[in-house]
Amino acid sequence: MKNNNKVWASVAEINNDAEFKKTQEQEFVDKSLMEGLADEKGLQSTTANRRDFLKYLGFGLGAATVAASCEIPVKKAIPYTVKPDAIVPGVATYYASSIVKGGDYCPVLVKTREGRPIKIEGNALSSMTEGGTSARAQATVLELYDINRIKTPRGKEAMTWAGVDAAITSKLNPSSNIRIISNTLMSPSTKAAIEAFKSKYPNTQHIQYDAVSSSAMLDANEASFGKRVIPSYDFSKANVVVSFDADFLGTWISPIEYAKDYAKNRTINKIDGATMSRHYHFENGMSLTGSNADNRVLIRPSERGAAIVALANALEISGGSTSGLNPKAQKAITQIAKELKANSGASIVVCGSNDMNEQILINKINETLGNYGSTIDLANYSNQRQGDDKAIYNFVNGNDRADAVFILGANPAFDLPYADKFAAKLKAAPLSVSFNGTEDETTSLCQYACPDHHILESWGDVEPKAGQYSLIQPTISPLFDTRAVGETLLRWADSDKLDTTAEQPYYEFLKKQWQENIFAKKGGFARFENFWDSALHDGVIELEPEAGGGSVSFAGDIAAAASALNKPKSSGIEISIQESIGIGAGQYANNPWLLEMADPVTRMVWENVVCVPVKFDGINRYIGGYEGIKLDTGDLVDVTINGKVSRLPVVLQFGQMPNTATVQLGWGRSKAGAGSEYGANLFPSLGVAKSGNTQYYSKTADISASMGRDKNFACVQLHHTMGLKGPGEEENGEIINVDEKVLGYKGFQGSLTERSVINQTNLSDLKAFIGDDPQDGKVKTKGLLYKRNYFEHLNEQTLYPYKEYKEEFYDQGHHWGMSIDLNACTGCGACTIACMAENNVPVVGRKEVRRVHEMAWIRIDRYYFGEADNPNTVYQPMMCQHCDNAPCENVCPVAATNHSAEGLNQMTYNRCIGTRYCANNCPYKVRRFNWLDYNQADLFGYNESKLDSDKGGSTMYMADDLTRMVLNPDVTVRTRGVIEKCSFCVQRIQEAKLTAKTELRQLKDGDVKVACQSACPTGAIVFGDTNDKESAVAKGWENKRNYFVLEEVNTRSSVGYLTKVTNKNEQLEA
Amino acid sequence: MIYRRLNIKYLTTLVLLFCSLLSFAAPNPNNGKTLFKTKCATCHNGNMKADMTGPALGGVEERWEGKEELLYNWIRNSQQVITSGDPYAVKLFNDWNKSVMQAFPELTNENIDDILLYVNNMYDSGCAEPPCEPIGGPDDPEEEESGFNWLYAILFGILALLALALVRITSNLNHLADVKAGRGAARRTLLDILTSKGIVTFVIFAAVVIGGFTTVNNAINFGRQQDYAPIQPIKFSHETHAGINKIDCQYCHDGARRSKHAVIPAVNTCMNCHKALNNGSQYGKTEISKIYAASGFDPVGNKYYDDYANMNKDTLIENMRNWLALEFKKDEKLKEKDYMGKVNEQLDEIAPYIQAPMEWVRIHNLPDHVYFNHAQHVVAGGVECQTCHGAVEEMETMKQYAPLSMGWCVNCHRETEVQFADNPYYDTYTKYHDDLKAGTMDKITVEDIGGLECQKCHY
Repeated sequence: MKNNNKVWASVAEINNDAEFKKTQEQEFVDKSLMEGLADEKGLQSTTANRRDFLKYLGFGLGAATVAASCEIPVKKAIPYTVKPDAIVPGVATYYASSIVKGGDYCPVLVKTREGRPIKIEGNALSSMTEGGTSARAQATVLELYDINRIKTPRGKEAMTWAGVDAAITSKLNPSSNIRIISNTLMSPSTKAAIEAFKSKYPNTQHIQYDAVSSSAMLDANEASFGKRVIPSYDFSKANVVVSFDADFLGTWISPIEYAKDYAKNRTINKIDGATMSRHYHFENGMSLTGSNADNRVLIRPSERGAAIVALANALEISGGSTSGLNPKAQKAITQIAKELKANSGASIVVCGSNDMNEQILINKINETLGNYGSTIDLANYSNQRQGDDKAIYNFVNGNDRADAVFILGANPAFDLPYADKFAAKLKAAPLSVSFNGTEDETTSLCQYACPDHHILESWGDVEPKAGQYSLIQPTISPLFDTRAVGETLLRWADSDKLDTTAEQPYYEFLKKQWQENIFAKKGGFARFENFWDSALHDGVIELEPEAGGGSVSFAGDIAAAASALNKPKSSGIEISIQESIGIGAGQYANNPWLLEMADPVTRMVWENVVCVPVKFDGINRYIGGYEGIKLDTGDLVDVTINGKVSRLPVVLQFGQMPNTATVQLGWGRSKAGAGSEYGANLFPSLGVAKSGNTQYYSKTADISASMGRDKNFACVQLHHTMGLKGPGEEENGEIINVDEKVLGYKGFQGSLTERSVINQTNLSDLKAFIGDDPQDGKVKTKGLLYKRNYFEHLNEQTLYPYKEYKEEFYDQGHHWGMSIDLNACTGCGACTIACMAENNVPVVGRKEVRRVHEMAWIRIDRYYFGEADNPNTVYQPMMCQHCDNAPCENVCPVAATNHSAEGLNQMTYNRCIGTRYCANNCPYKVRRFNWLDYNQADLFGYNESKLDSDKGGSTMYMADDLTRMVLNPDVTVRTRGVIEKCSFCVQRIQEAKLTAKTELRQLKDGDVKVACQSACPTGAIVFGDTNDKESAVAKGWENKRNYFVLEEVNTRSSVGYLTKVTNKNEQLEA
Repeated sequence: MIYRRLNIKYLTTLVLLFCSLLSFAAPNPNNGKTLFKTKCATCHNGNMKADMTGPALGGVEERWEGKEELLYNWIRNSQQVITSGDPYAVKLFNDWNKSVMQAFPELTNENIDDILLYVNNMYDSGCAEPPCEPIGGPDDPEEEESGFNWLYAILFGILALLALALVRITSNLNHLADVKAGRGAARRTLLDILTSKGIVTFVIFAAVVIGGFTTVNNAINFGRQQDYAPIQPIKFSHETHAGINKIDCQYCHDGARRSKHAVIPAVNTCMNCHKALNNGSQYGKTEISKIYAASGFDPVGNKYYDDYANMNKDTLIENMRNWLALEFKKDEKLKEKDYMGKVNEQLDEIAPYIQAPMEWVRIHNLPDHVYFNHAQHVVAGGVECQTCHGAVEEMETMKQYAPLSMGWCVNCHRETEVQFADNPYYDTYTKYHDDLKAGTMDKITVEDIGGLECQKCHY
């Protein structure tokens, strides 16, 4: 059923649950608050009475008086003794560097203030990312200031470097069997250090593995083309994208790069003859990439092999049997194959499975379609996945006797399916050393810890792709007594390549490496010093791409591959296991920003869940669960995967295939600082194929009936809703709008129950959806333009002369605005973390999120539309809309929030008295109240917030000087009792204005880049001066797809949204 | 001083007092101070006790006893006096290796009296106008203000006495009239009057008004530090540097043109000059040696120490002692046992700064929640430093000139004109440009371009 109007966010909403509607009518939901209070032992056992209250009141007043009458403290100011030239106190300095963790790579500029890194910005000089970032890269600054970092080298207790060097080298001899275990290692210099180490200890083996592995893809490319690499993909050139379980916008290989390219081919700037790519996604659960697809084809995990064979067959590549494949998928594949053939050389087929045979078939399909050389490039291959599952499997499970095990950045005692066996092997080794910089499961098992610098303190390099190099440079002196791992290895090997007398030995080594290897390849520089300075300034060096990526000769055995595929299983529950968008496979789990970042699809924070399918009961309700098991969101269930049982909360997930479930990896770490003991660890549940490759799905899964409710369930999906409507009980079932009911009267502005929150259409209907412009004359097709014209007519029926205000104030100077392209937004969440870093937004912990107290200034609302059992998704970044006719401003009794002539809705913290009237009156629900002292900013230590108060813990966020180093000094740290919200990064606006003034020039478009905008990998967010008619934001507002959320209620908001357009193949069944 | 005289005189003397104020013409040590600093301090030591390029000036009048006119002439043109053949002048000239003192023909006798008074005061008590005050100095505005308050208080007292006398007289007359008319003979006592309803109500009303006013005023001023002038680790004189030597403010406060902070200069900025200038005009070596101590400069070898942070502190103290001793020997021609005491005295002051940071006391503390940017005001706004910081070039001890209150900021934003026409940045304000041309507006103030909006300063 085609349904362009219906947009929904959850099962409760689509079912019109009475209780749900009731809670949504309240701005401040008190249900879970009461629930929380009931748990507090202090409150139940309290004996306080009126006299006590008066005593406390008296004491409080007295204490405040005493504190206030104290003398003003003498403040000291210490200038530099010798001021570095590069630093001007109060002015930020940027350094080009790279953020690397395993295969994750992001070239960045690190913003430092007075010598401490406080913010990550993308590096626009990199052709891979063009300035885009990810949530993980944005969160790196907080990781630098993690209190759980290892502060000195240690054996059984803390040691000096000289001591640890002597102790370890005395245990090594040239014949020692040394195993260095790392994740994907992209650093040429570290690899060179390992090679130098090997020349002294020839029996050294370097084993690379990835927690979420692409090992089979490497195997397949070796078998098909003789090259054990991952090719480069260019999604911008693909008109048809087909993905089998490859989450390329979220977690798969190089998501920043892919998202950037993908979005290029999905933006629509003209209505007539608009084109965009079409994206088919095969999966069982809703992944981030799947949610962005035009058509999702549901297949059980075990059907994936058959589906790939079916596609191969349809493309007339001799294949095998497709028996067991569901008929809907079968039909879809026939259609998709036709489209792929029509777009030969302009399509991409990718597969996220870790099965070599499936990958060989995918290679053949791409080769047949002629995609190698156009959209896929094997010559300029990617280095972002090098992990070999077989190598680590054989090491752990084989008879390999290791004299010494070195852990280089990896955490195999947590993120291997056979982690317990690895732990046993590690313990059995005569010598075990960890180079990891932060406390984790593996390091705690090692005899020695020789901590590496944090990436923001290190010298280093990366080769993310063949011929593309980038440098890592320190942006702060090492905070602790750490040492570069490469230097450690070179010292142990007593290598002559390391000049230990130099001031920075590893820096000299790195420079030498670049001089010998990269300088020689890159032309255009007379002297190495010039080349080095240029590389250091730019952060990236890109050689001429290798030609000949197209001339591949496929040498794989199709028939063998097809026959060796998995056979579909038609009964029972199957489960797929995904990497988490925020915390990855657990390597980011000690980062509170990422822990509290809502999963884009499930909108869960602080734990993993099991996604359970929803189906229509045929009458009027959607019910979640399986045959004979009825489940609801927030139930706890036992999930059995490959015989291992884990208890997880349920999220009812639209688009989840019946009889399947999806769970997320990376949670349940035991030694991860702030992230310890959240969620369930599913690594032990992963299966391993005969080939040694880890498998991220299970055919033998089971889900129990509800075992009770999750008391800590914290999902932000329904926390700040708007435009909600449904049959009103007091109105005899008449459809009402919940917001209107809150206002106390219906029929506001002509009984508009439909609120323009999301506008979406299909590419084929786009012209009709937009309709004729009433300003051009007669309207034949009434579409978006007609509707907006009508809204404008409604809004003009006012006593207040808005137009005069506008001419007098807003048309003068600047008027700040934003334009957000819903087609480009993939929901990745990079903007939300960038905002937290830029604006000192606190993390509140799971319990507070459950009480609807999360503080994020920008949230990404996720809505579904289309068919309920397999819907499309739209992501809507929602922040303060800076309305020129703002409802919040009128109700503030102390004028703490008011409007500036530049169109900013100003929030003045020192004037706010915390009535929260503004939050109550905000139709967009973007104002956040500091219920507790989340930043530990108050003078007195009560009302402090504890991150793990749900577990009775006492971990406080921002309670120590180390973590506080991440705070942006230009933004106030808010105390308890005040409202806060998006400020359009006013500190950046003011900075850019000042620069323009001092340079005696006008402000240029692009001078102000707000944090969310600069973090976005797809350029979905554009900010600027709407009075500048040539600016990108003014152009965005003029785009015919543009609309303003809740335009009809006359808020005159300053954030335009561009209608979401899908390119759905409507012939396919959902 | 003023009120002391007032205390013993009656009302009529007030007139005399004002006359005496107007005709005040005795030598003024403050004028002398300024003159000394501009004319003499280059060669003569400010403490008046030690020799520098020229001799110590302490006791100069005794040395020229009886030849005052000759001293004036000497100061105006010493060569003339020498040629005239005065034996003391010739001896002085020869003692100082025949180095010629600069001539100051522009100085009047009054000027020279001012200087000599200042010299004597400095020589006797170490400050321009004894008795010495630890902070603020004699020309502290608070002192003057309190003088005026006293004047008011006395006036008020006299008027109150007059009023009381009048009340008494009318009361007596009324009583007499009453007695004459045969009405009630009982006179109200003072107690009756003071406890009457009217007086009690008045007193309560006055207490509430005065109490409320004081409370609110104190609350508003809470945390404000106008005129705050703390003792700094180095007795750095803005008067000497910015006033006499005319060093540009932004030479040291180099952040003011490019950053939100004006920046307390790094120690190495001081060293740009003080590497060569090692003798201060007022404090000799003591204060400058603190810079050497903090920056790791070796004044004996005239170079920086190589590995200052890791050197032995005792060695460094010993080096400093040797240098000071050497310098004293050169300067004062004293016997060793005389000056070693002074060296050690100075060393005690300097030693805490060896290998240690220079901890200045912050004077200008912005209230919480305020963003202030120096570059915005200094470069974009073209505001003089003195507008907010006062006449720093006249401050021997730095003090906070402005209250740094929001009202103070806002008032300035209301009145200050923006460099509107000259800066292309403002071209987008088309309406204002039209208004200016049409003459409907004569200037654009900061307020007009949104300078009073909350988020211009609070975010």
